[in-house]
Amino acid sequence: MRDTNEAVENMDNIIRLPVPERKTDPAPEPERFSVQVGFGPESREFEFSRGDTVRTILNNGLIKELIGFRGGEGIVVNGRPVDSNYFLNPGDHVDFVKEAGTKA
Amino acid sequence: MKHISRIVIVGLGGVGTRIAPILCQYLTYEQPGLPVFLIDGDKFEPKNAQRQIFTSLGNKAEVTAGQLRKDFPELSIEAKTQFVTDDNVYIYIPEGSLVFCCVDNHASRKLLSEHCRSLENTTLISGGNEFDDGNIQVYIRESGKNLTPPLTHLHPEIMRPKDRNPAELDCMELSAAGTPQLIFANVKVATEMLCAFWVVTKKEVVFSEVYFDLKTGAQRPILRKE
Repeated sequence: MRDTNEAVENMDNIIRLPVPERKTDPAPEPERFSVQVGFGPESREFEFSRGDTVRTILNNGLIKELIGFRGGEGIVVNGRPVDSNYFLNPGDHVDFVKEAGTKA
Repeated sequence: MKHISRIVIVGLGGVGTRIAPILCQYLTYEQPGLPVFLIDGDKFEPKNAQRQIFTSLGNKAEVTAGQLRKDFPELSIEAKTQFVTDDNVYIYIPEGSLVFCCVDNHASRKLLSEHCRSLENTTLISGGNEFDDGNIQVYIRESGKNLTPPLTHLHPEIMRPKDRNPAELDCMELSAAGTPQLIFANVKVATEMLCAFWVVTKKEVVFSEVYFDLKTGAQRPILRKE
């Protein structure tokens, strides 16, 4: 059995060691990631894959049904207008612009 | 308060008649020197009493202005008894105006948005509802630049309206134009427009639209950048 004092001393040495600099690049973007999709007051999170575009959302009948948009609306991502070729990124917020209310 | 030359309320229906008294109450203490203009070519009829606030029949702008002058004598309140059209919009809405668009047709929303787009400095707060949901849009223009998008941007239904300006409708068409509305939807739109006014004048605006649904209780601001 190792001497307790020696073990503590070794532990101290380990703690005092400088933290090595990270040699590798930051982790690559995940293959699957979440995007918030909104229409009017409703908004939900869905999972997409790298390479998916806004058209992927437009072609997904389930998302359309859940969120309620038709597909002909204007589209903004993170507040900026985009077209359906826009490539989705992790954390994006895609909004399909609901029609303005007509009455007052 | 951000520099505003006048406040203009276009449309004194279920939303406009809710906005006007609360706004005047606020302005009485916050900025009593700011003139308020009310514009509407329509008249109050008994059938309007279900959702709209009025003390007598007659032109909506005139009746509302008359009542507000009694309630808020410190304010300058003027009535314009015509529908807003191509021919008068540039007179009623000059540089520096803050406009509450409370009309019930996209043709007038387009007219107001495009007129505001021709000005250097203006703010247009527009609201509308269906039966139990609705939304508002906030179009801000400063020094000739859009800080938020005009109403026609991303709203094709306003860009290419299927309806007509009420000034183009005859009495029969005007009378038939109304569809059932819920007073609470009007009140909610009015409240959101007033809150947007406060944000525009006192804070930094981070949204350009707000949507709500009375059935689900859902409400969401939409970030919009020009």
